Amino acid sequence: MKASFLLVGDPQSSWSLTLARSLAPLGQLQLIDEKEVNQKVLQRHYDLIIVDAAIVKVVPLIKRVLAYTPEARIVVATLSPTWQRAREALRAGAIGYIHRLQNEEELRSTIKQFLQKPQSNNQEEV
Amino acid sequence: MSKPTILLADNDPDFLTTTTDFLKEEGFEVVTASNPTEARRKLEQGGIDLAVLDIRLTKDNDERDISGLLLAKEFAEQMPLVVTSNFLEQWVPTIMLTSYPTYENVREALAPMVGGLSPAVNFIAKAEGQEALLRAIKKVLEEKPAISPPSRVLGRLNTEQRLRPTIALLFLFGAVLSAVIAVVASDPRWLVGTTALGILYAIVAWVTVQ
Repeated sequence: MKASFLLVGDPQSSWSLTLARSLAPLGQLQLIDEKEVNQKVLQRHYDLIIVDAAIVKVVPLIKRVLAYTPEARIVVATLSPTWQRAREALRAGAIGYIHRLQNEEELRSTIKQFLQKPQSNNQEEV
Repeated sequence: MSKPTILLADNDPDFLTTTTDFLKEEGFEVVTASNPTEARRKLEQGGIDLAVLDIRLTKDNDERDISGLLLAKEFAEQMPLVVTSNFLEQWVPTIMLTSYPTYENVREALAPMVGGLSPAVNFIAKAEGQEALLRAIKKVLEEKPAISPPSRVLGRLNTEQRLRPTIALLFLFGAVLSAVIAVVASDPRWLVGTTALGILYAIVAWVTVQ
């Protein structure tokens, strides 16, 4: 069965398009900006929500999404990973924190691993 | 009220001494370990409320050493997947500690594993200071009793896993029913058929819960 992905970020960015191409064999990726998140996650279930840390305030967004849909599985993608931000994101309830890879195949294999992962229990105040 | 007991594991004797003194002054009982084997033994002995494990627990100058993290993973993997009333007694929340923080190590420590629990509940860099460690310890200990074991453990299970005990019970019921029919019918043909069916049901039930 095809997976459903949601990318919260800039739908026009080149990385969004790279991600869409990369995930095409696994399923369908919907690109939205931050304002649409609440509505989208309530409308339907997504197998994975990918958050582009470049344009989104990650921790409040994770908390908001999990408040509406506690079963949501969120992965944060960033161009400049730091251990402090990784800690914030994972403690807020994300299940993954990844480098924004450009290689489509590598990206696909990284994302694929998260489809098997359960939801996090780390939904705590940071 | 008894003092919470913390297992502090680090292979740096100076760090172990100063941090132990600090935590004792703050009102904790502290049990120490200076290598993974000792830490594992003390965790297995029980009576630990929280573990603080250094990531490089064997060789400080070996950047590939993640023995403390592996120990945390090992203990998280041992936690039961199904709801148990003594979950909190078995579960020792862990804080990972390191002088060499990297986002990869944070990810390994805090991301959930298959089964749902993450190896650690927090990650502190030694450079953040003793106060940061103290805050993290207090927060974990405050939150631990508030965690409801069933909801926490159920939270770790996906839908398929949640249904497994029910499916297993249905098959076990099938096995018992087959046995009852076989006895009531007292007919050798029924006996063979229902016994075979009962064994099959029992096997499926056993496989399901694995």
